[in-house]
Amino acid sequence: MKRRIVISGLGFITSIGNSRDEVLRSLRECRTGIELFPDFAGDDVPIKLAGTVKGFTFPTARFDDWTYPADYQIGRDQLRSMTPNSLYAFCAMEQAIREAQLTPELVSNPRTGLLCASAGSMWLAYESLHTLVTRGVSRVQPMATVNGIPGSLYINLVAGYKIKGGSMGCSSACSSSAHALGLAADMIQLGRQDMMFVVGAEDCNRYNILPFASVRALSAQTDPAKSPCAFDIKRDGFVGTGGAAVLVVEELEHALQRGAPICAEVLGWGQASDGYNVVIPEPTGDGLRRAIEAALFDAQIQPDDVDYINAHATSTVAGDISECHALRQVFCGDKQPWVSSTKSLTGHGLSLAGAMEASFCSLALQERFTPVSANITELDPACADIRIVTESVFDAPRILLSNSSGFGGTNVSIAMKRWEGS
Amino acid sequence: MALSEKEIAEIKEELRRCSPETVAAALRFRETGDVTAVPEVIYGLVELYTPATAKIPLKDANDDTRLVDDLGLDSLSLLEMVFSIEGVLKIKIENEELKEVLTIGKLNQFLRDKLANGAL
Repeated sequence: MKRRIVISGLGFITSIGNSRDEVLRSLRECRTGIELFPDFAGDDVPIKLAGTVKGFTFPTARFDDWTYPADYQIGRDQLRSMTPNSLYAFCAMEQAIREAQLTPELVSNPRTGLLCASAGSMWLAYESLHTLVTRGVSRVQPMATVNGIPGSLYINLVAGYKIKGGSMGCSSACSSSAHALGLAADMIQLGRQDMMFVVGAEDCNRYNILPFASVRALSAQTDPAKSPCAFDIKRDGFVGTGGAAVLVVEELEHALQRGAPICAEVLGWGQASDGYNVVIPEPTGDGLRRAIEAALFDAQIQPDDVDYINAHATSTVAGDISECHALRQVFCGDKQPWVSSTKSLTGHGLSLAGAMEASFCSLALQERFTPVSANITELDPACADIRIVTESVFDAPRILLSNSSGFGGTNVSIAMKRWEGS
Repeated sequence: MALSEKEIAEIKEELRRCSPETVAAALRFRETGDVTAVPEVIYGLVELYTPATAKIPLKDANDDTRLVDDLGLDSLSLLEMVFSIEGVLKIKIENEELKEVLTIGKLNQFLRDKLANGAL
């Protein structure tokens, strides 16, 4: 019999809040996390907006200059190998462990694993390589390799939390942490683990966001009330963000036996690739369509069962249109699911996006609301037949999908269901 | 030898979490080669990398105090400290040279010998 999988804890360091309560309020009240970003100041920077992470400062690349919320105690021996994204993740892990009511024995347990997704800290990698080139090999600081590679996220968390089960990082661009969640579900499904931490995290600075300007993917808008605006005719690209999201994913019986608080059920997932282009999504949405169909099959549900879709929808024209094509092909029956992009509130979290949005979906299921797609004043006619949540609706989803796509044409769809006690 | 502004800035940056006495001692050593300034620099750097959980508080330490067993420095802290010593004193320390350097006294002795042998 198929093992059932539930989410028993969440943690958030995001542009729209650094706790479950803050994030919930922002999603319900449609509060944006976007603002003018001081890191993008200067006439030579054509991009001005970011989904800023509040409560943290990184004035220099030296960890002992960093500040973070006083709720967290982090020793020098842990902080010295961290990146900004792993510091965010550490704080989100603390929340998730507390919410899931995990004892230290359950966190550090051969049956508990960890899957991470991050592009690494391009900033710290740059700093170390700049030192190597300008001052020589001998002046490259001892933690340069640990904090300069994408694996730094799982390296820091596995060591910091004494993780004993399987652990690894996922690297598939902007679907990375959606892949991590899907693979975590598979690992539990196969009986390899009983519980998994799924972590998505990204820095939030000029080094990991501004390179996207060269492919014209970033919004040049300067008014945080107008961008990003997925599905709107005036959208002009995505707004970058960073932070961390953590989900505690657990086998149902394991969760029930220990009396865990259950947020939602993960019914299944699917993935498929475009096989098309390094950056441009396949125009007909064929790859995402197949990912959605695979998720429905894995979850043993029909298109008509789906009440809501948290779209990947980054607010780029090519991406939004391609996703609408995919949705149109799958959801062609009488019942049309609601569709929204929470990236219009948060910004696009890159490797963090999938875990962050699956966490939002978990909140939507548990707290019974449908997230709004913000900043739409004039719906793009090319999206007009999609049932986009342009303003608050009373409907609460019982079953939903969370979509993610990434460079190279990676596509992931995750099916989740409200937990109703059985 | 007079230090350039850049060199002074690098020393101050490396020791920016240390006391003014440690910084002054480092500058004196680098400018004059006066090895009697080195123990003050070493004390400041050991202090910087000693965790709050040290079994023996640094103020009660003596030449026999062990860096790992008494002060609680782990292998990465030792690496960081050696990295700082190399940068501040402008010397190169090989791994093999450190095998017997287990106490504060031996660290100072090692550096005294190394600097006397013309490491500068």
